[in-house]
Amino acid sequence: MLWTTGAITAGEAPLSPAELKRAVKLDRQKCWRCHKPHDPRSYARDEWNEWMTKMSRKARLKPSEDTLLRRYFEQTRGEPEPVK
Amino acid sequence: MHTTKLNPCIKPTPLGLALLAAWTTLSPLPVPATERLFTYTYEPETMIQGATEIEQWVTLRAGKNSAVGKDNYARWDLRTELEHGVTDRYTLGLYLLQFKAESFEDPATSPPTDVSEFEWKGVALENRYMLLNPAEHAIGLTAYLEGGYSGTEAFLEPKLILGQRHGDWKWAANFIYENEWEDNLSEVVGIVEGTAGLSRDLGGNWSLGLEVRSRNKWPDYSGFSSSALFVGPAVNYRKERFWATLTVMPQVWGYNYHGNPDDNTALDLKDNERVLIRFIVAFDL
Ligand code: HEC
Repeated sequence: MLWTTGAITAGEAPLSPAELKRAVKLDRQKCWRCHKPHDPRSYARDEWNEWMTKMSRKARLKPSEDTLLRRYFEQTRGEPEPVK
Repeated sequence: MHTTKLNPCIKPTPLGLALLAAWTTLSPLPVPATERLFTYTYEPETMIQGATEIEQWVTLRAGKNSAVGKDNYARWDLRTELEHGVTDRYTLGLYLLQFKAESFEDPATSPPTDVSEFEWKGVALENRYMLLNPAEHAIGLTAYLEGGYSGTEAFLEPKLILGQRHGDWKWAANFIYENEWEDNLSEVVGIVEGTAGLSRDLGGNWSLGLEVRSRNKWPDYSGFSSSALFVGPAVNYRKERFWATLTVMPQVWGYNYHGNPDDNTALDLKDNERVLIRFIVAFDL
């Protein structure tokens, strides 16, 4: 099925500036539609990947969009938490 | 929301309610979508492209009085709606099944007569186009147009939908102008409405908020005949493949512009009821 694209693990090539821009837009346009943004750093990697599989279907992501967003969230995971 | 005039077919009692109960049980239970935190107020987010959901609506409007000839008044409206995200910005809704059941006691007769009536309502089409996505702008803005026809009556209902999320909080406001053509399209009634809601995500899939609805009737465009204000809690629960929302809104203020036909100076019971209760449940297809 379209949305069961494999999980992304650490060690992926970083997103290019163009990919990053597309991923940020996709996140806003699709994921923010139904709820507040969720931060991958608040979830264990497996747990996040599980949600991504469910949410990818809810957001009707194409396989390429799913892969891009998974890479984007993985990259976010490596970034420091925002200062609260 | 669209309402139609009473049919003259007046039959004694609870047949309508029995049919209604049977229909609720038998109606096909489908298997979401962008959930709604309120039941009268729409939020600006439209559905994701390609998503389809089926919504079941149940609305109860209850409580008039003997001055308007309707004791023990209850009106049930049922609606089954199919919604589809045509694009990320445009959602189309089709009301597949709509009917109402109304019952009351007429105090003018001796002894008082039980009156109940049951009416299929026509088909209706709902269009929502998101002009500004709240996720990308300071405020979300969506244009809404609903139209319906039932053979003897028709209506057109444009709305402007505003709203935004702020962390766990979300608000929305709707401005509505509804035109109804009644009595074989010979009579026209305008209804000016404003609704708004504020809700907080409580975690654990629950949201709790407050919803407000102001309804002002404007028959023949010749000045307002009544105004009413309803306020009450709105509770929403959502899971991956379904969501449900309930509001209970008592009328807190009402006014009749021409005399006091309902013998009540605090509320309007001629065109409105004491309480509105609406429940919507939706399933992803
Ligand atoms: C069509 C609506 C919709 C879309 C689009 C959507 N979600 Fe969700 N999301 C939900 C619902 C409903 C839940 C609650 C599911 C449950 O608890 O069963 C949820 C839950 C979640 C959770 C778990 C929250 C918790 O309880 O800790 C995460 C994480 C999440 N979504 C991320 C995403 C991401 C990332 C995207 C974009 C790819 C996305 N969502 C798109 C509706 C949506």
